[in-house]
Amino acid sequence: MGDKYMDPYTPKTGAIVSLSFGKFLRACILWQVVRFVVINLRMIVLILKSKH
Amino acid sequence: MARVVILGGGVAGHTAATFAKEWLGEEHEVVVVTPDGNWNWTPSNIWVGTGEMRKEDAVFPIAPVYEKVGIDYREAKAVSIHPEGKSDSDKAFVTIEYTGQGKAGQSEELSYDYLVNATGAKLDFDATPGLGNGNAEPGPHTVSVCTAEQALHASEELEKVMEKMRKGQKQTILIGMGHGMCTYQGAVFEYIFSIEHKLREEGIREYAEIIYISNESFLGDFGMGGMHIKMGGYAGSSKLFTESLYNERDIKWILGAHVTKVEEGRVTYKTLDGDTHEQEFDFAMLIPLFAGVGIKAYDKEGNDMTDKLFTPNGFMKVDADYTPKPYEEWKASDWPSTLQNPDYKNIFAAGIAFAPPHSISKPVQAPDGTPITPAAPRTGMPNAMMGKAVAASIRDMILEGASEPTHTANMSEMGATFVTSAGKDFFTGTAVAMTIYPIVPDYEKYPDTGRDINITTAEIGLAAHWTKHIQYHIFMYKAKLLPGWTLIP
Repeated sequence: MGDKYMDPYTPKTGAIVSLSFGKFLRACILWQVVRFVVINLRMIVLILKSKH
Repeated sequence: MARVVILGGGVAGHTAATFAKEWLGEEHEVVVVTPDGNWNWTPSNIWVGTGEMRKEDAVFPIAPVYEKVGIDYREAKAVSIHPEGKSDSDKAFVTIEYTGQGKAGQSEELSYDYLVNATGAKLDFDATPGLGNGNAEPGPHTVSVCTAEQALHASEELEKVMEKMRKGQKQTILIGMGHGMCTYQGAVFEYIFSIEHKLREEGIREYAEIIYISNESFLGDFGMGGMHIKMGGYAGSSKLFTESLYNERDIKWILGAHVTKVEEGRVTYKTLDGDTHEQEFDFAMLIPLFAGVGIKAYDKEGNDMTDKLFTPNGFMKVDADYTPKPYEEWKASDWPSTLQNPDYKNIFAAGIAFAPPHSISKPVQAPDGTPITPAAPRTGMPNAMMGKAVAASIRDMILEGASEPTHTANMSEMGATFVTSAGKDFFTGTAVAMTIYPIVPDYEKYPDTGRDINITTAEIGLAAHWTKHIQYHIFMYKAKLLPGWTLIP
């Protein structure tokens, strides 16, 4: 599907295109363990900032 | 002894009731009035709607849970509020009509010292011709995932079109907003990507054309005016992130659309340029307009004063600034903090039931004046925070004699997390994890993007799916009031 994203004359042109390394990282278990920690720490910060 | 009556048992009402009881103890009474005997973790309805979760796993009977902690539960719906009492009594009360507990149809007057309106929304399917069945339920042409029961029906209908795809037949799947003033874009995003994932997993994706139809004026608005996130040294719009995902999964989109009519296999919609279009479908999940549940209010003499407590669309007035003003003059301070009704200090509203001062997205309309703008989202985490803040204020008013609410839950001062599933599987699943702070942009505090760029983020990956999965178990555990539930944020 990749090539059609790059066509500069379609409505899809404005969108950023995810590349193969980014897609690999999305499913890479080791990297995702790291991201899991980051996402949940970020959520905890957000919850603490929201307490009134 | 004080009596706290909570109307509604969704996320906001359940949170308010359980914390109020926990803090007030046996000396005070907490009563919950809700017409549905099952508690539903609504985010999981998406998985029910794709057939990836049993309905029974997204709901549980609420009566035993309330009985365990001493909450008085009435399976009933609220009909009217009488904040001044009646001619022979000054005691405020609500009129309720039972829907279960062997008393269906019976009415009762329930007095209160403090009232929390957390009724959620009426799913106004009939606001769009053909979307409803005339009884505020989904009509025969489309499905919905707003309740667990509706989601179950959606999964059955989805299975029918999938069966045709397995036989090599092309099918058009239309998912989106069934009215120009809808909210719930996050859930729809989740449903569309969950279906796309399911079709890919089954190897039948090539037989489906998937189309998203929305009242958003740009993809990634989500009813919050979009958001900016860090992208390689820049702050980029959620439009870029969202369009990228839709392109990657080959999902088409129709934006700025107000669905005007639903028929068998076809919707008619008006767009922001004033044109009218049609879109055919084989399977459609369209979200209805949300409105207030229609509770009436009466003064001491029995005169109707519904417009004093509620806005015209049925949501309860609280401490917001409802002065009509143009988008350019909107401020974060327009949004309510204490959620207390300005006329009756012992009445609060939490969750979807409170009337927002305006939308968060910029209001736009078609040339004929038809508004096509997402309503402000009020679901999940913000609702729980509102319920807890209201319960804390009532606790302090009862136990400490506080004359004013002591806690706030302002959507311009609190954040939200949205973890939207895009495929449910421990290793091949994925989800988008979004954190946003604050929900309502505050351009005075954050002049660049209106939000704290360090914790306003979005990313897609397996980790987000794990988070979504764990959240499901944690929040079901908390909702069942199992040991240690108060420690769960």
